[in-house]
Amino acid sequence: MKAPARLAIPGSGTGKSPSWISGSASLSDVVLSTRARLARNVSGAIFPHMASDADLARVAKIVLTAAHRVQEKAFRSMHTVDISALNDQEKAALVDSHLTSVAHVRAGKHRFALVDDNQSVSVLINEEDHIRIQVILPGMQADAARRKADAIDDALSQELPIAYDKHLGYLTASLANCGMGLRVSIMVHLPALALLHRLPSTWQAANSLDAAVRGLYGEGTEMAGNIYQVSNAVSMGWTEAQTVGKITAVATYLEAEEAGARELLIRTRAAEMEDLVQNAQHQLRDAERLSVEEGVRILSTLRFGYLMGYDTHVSDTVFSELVAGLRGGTQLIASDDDRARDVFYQETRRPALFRNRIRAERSTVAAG
Amino acid sequence: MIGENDQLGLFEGRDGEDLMPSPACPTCHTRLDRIYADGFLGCETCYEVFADVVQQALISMHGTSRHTGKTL
Repeated sequence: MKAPARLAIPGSGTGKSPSWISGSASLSDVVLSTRARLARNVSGAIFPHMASDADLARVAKIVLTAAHRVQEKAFRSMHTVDISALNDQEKAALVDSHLTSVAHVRAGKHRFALVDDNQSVSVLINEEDHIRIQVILPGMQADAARRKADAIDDALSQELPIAYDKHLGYLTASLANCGMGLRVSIMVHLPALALLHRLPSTWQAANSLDAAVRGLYGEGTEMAGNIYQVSNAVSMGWTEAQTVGKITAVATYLEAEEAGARELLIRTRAAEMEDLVQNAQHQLRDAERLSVEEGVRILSTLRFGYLMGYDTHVSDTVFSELVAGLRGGTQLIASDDDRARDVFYQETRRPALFRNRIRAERSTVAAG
Repeated sequence: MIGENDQLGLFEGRDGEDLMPSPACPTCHTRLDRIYADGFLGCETCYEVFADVVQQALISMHGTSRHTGKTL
């Protein structure tokens, strides 16, 4: 199999990335990152979607105070971000890094995020629930992410009265989260299964393992570039360890299915795959503008090519970094005028951003 | 009306209740028809006031209404 033509476009690399982008872990061919999220509420306070401004302000104050009190043992280097003080670009960057949600940055006053230096841990205040503890780690690390979130929960629970019932568990705004309040999600990349049109049957199997599937930016977003979020479908009747076990089983299943699909494609459709990868390279080389969807589709194909042994230089790190930097968040949160202006700006700078990063990776590999 | 928002399917065969005003939580004023519509409660009191509905909804969503995870 010959290597596709190399790209040769001048430029530089990108800025600092969250730590979950650059690490390495098992099953990383398929699982790009793992997130554990705990939903908690302050006892005696009305849940955010029904709360008045005064209620929200009071909750924010007591949660921030508690968080700062336990900072030493629970967080290490957390920064308090007042969401309402951010501009649209900063909000989009938070969403793109998956440190908070579109709903949280859109929600208005008295919304905060505590974010650690590595951008791996965030505690969201007054999101759907009063407290959302979230840990994102690279690759498949469901147990580690869950344990880290759990430690923060333990620390905060010592300082705050938490809404809890001995029969129902943690009381949350949505009944979908009641019980453990835990959602373990893995972000998976499944290009070979998509090429073979096997995703519907794959998701059917995943659903039978009690897993739910969503798009790259969460609920209601499109599934771009064959990147999906898979998470536990229920939060009651299981223990936290069982939840991690189920998601790990789904990840193992998906990894085996994707590996089988790749092998089949190499064995039976090698020339077609080579064309596919080369076309994506040519598209990127010639592009003057790229939408988020086009961008993620090209990156998906180039990473697929990399995993199939082609010289695309879209390694796991490059792929995760560029996907996180797609700035899709802007399209989801900005006002109409800003959105149009920003989308144009992002689309025109995106091709060079991609080319420069890939070129930098090629130089690093050549030097190494 | 409850019948129009019955996404949880809890009102099947109970059309007569559509004519009743939807009860509300005394603490946060969340109405019962909202809970039927999207499964969102407004506060801890909702869990007590609408305990039967909550239990039914939890069983429909999770297959059980019994928490077996972490204890506070």
